[in-house]
Amino acid sequence: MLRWVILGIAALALALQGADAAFGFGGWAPADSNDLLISISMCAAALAALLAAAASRTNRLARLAISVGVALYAVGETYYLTVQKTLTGFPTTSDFLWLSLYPLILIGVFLVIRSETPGKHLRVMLDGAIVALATVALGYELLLKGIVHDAATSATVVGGQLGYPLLDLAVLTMLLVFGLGNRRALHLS
Amino acid sequence: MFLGVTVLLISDAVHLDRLAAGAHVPGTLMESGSAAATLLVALSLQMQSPIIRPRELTGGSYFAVMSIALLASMALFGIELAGDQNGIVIALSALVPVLVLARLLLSIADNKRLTEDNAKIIATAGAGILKLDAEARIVSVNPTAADLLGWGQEELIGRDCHSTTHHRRINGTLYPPRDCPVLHAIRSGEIQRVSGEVFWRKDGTSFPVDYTSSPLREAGEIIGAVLVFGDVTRQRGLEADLRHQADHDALTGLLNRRSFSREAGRQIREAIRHQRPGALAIIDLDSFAFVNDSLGHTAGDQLLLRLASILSAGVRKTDFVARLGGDEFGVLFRETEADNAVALASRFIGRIKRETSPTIAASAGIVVFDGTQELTGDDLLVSADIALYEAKQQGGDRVVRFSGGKGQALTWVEEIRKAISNDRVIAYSQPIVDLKRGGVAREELLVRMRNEHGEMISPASFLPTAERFNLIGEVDRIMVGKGLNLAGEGRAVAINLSGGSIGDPEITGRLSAAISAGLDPRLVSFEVTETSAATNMAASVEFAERLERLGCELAIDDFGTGYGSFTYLRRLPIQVIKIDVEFVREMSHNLTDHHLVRVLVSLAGSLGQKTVAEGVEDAASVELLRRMGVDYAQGHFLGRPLEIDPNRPRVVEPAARAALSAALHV
Repeated sequence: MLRWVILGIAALALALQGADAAFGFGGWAPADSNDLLISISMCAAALAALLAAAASRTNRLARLAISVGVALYAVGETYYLTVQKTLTGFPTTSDFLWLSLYPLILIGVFLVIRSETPGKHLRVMLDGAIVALATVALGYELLLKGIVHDAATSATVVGGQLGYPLLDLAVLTMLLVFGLGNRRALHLS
Repeated sequence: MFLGVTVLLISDAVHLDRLAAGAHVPGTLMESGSAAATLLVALSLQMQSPIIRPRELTGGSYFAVMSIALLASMALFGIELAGDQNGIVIALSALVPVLVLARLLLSIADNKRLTEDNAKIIATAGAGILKLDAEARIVSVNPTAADLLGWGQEELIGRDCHSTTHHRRINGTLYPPRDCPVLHAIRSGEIQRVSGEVFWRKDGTSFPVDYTSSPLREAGEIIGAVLVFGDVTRQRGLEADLRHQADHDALTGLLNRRSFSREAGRQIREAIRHQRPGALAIIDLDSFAFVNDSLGHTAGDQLLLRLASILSAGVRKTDFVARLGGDEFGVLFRETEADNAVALASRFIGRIKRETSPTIAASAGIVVFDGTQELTGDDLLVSADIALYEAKQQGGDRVVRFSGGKGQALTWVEEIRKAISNDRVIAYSQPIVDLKRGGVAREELLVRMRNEHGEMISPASFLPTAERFNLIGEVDRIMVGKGLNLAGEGRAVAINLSGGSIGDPEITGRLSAAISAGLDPRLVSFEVTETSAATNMAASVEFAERLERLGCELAIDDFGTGYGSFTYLRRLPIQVIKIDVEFVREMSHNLTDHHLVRVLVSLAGSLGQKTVAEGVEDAASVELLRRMGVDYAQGHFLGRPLEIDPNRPRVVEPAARAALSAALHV
């Protein structure tokens, strides 16, 4: 019950932030309200994820790994919005916290694959990695290379930030490949 | 989670785009993407279902996905090498073929391991496995198959399976290949599961098998079969043991009643077919309960074994001996005239008397079948039982041949059956009076039977027959039903149970149901005689414990008349002892009886049991019993047995009431 209340808070904060960003609060809201709402939303969501992982009966370790990644990501966002405020180089403190999400997600996914496909998990992971690498290479070539090439700001900053969509694409592709072997997985994930 | 990562990808791509354009401002609508992604991942973690359900890509999907990945990466590698020479793209696309190769090597290693595992499983399987080709020749053998068949593994390769292992049936006759299920699997393509056949070893011996012959297919064509078989000698042995146990008596090893009856039926049919007479005798010890009670069950069992030995030794190989239950034995004489059968039975009785220790007499009932009547085995048993009953009625130690006409016992059997079905079993009640308070404490229900003319029949006339011919159980159930109805009206009752009804699940079931429906269990008491309890002590103990749990009373009736009265006091959780009328009647002028009653009352008191004196006939006895500390009494002086009036609970007879009142107010 508590988890759902916390998730509700996260959703509410997110909705308010979205409304503020889209329409503004007419000047009566504090100047930093937008950043504050994002921080509240992300930290609340991370807390709910941690609580859910701690209470889970299946794949507890995997859920803990993913929820810790989410929590670090939320802390990184909060730190960026409240302390750092600008991307002056790469990597910053926020980058370390943001990037830690990806290995932790991969660890969580690996743990699930190991328990769900005993004796075959290495093959399953390799399949995911092969397709993910090809997709990332293709994505970079077709979509991102142009953005980086035409960057108006610091090439270091832009180059550093390039890692995020590439890693997103890698994780997304891997989830998709695992789901291809079992269509229900796509639906559930 | 899939959705969360998708949102994150979009958010990060847009962020990168805006950053590259120098337009990023923290806290904008695009920033919401990260928060939304976090929320979606957190939401997915709330579900108890697995985060993902991964499965290995196989078949067409695997080749399609891998081909696209490989081709795309190789194309990118080529384009970049020829054009921009972007390090990231070159590195990523070069890594893909390396991983594909690693995956290939991993698959080869896994397949090798799988093949080795399969070989190990087949080699160590407890079942014999033969692989056959399309001509049913053996092409592969596991060690178990070779061991079971007594051949070397190499020797079996190339041999025709049917002629090597399966050429004869269980009875030794030739097994034509056209009937062979193993070959049928290859011909028809259907799996054959077979039991009850034998396979033959190299040394010409056979062993029972259960086997499965499964067709082996390649590209849709049957290329042979896999035969999996197991030696089921042990199972067959166990089955034979079970069959033997089902048909034989555990103590003596003789046939039991069921198989004896079946055999008797078979002999009747033989007698009809060949016009050869036969006879069936039931032999019963005259006082077996005495041996059990006085010398213990071990001595009783020894006696039964001795009896089984005497009977088995005294019959021809073609005759049958059975233990029908308790101390009752049956002998089936084949192709024997009536006189000869009677003479044989008499000889048995003589030998039993001579050769048993302690010396014990026996009686026998004989029935002859001559092939002129269609009878069943049970018919013969009933007729022999009637003759045995007559023998017992005549004092025992004799042989009586069933006359063929309607004997007295059979008339009673029919009369009792009719009374049961026509609701002519009647309940009487006799008050059991509380000697310390003066009122009726409980009513003992007594069974009576009304004949077709409406006349009441004494229980002494029909109860022995009802017990002898297993009708007493039905009578008891009727009385329990009547007793529970009366208790339901708030009247405390005592219900008599025969030995066969102790632990009758229908009776205990009815009692439990009535108590569950709100009946006060204290209103119901059951009475069993010592002899009844002795019939099956284990069931009696269980029944007594069940009653105790339910909150009902159990009384031992006619206490002191059995062989081992104190055994029951020790083993049964009883609440009431009913002192037999024999002690009570003579108590006022027989000093021994007087002392016995006093001792019994003292003993019961120290064991926390109540006492009831039966057969109280006068005021003096009432007073004497009261002074001795007897709790309750019953007898004609206190209240005669009368047919139950549902609307009028029994009261103490006026004369007795006056005597009691005077005694209580002194």
